[in-house]
Amino acid sequence: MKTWQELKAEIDRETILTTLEPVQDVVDVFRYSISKGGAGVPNDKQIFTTWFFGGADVNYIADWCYFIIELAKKGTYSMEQLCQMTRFWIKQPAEFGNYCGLCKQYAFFQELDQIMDGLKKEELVAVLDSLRGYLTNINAWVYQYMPWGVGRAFHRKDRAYYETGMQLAKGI
Amino acid sequence: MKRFKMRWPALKLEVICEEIQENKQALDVLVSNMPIKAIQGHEMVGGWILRARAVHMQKHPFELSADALSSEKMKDAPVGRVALLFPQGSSTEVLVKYDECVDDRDYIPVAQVEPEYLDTLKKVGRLQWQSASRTKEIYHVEFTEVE
Repeated sequence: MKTWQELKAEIDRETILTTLEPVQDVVDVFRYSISKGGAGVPNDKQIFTTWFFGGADVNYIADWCYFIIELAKKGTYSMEQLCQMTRFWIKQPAEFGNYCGLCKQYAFFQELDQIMDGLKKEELVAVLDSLRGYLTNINAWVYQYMPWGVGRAFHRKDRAYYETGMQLAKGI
Repeated sequence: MKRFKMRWPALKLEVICEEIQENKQALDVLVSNMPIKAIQGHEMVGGWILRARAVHMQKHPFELSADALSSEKMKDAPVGRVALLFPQGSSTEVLVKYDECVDDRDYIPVAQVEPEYLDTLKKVGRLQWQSASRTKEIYHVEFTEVE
């Protein structure tokens, strides 16, 4: 089991390594369409749903970290409550992200989970701040590799579109 | 007056940004962490906005309370506005509006791209959108203080 300082240092190191170079988990899943955890495989062996749900879930963990830190700063919540929030809000999406191939962020959470109850508030905040930094890198690289160009196949429909369709339908 | 440069080395393009009246303390923290390098991204739903989602402040953490900072809706901001989103501790997002947008969420304005660089900013924005939606080229952005 790592100390909180060791865990924070490890996460910070990973953040530095992945700020200008891609997070390997993201490259595997979003660039090369590898489903390391098996997500999407039973569903016609496609990767799109893995991207859609896995990317979104992990995206939000960074925001949950932000809010837990803000709540910790207000001083109205006990350490027990903050640990409970961290487990409620982060564990499920982090675990699902792991299933979708974003594995390292879940490994970091699991290590935090092991030591969290013995931490002081400022120590939990310090680790969550580091975790948030790494998660923002994941998000930046997910946005980089997500093939947003598929959106060009699904243009927004407006009133004129349906009015034209109604006119055409009269000929059916 | 505090000024900083945003440079995209792969594009050989750069713009100069200057402080505004709002949130000078927030800009001070950002600038005190420069030079900063990050991956450049693009807003995907709100309009023509450059968006760097992972900007790290390793030297001086951002400790200002969100309640103490003024906010602005991006749709109401002038083209060239530089704003922060969720600045806290060692991380923030940095957004730059380079053309029209409909985004009515609140952001923390901290700087403005100088008028003579607005055409360059638009060029960067268009190229970044092309990358995000089609070519997937990776563009880094560098933030450095300018005397």
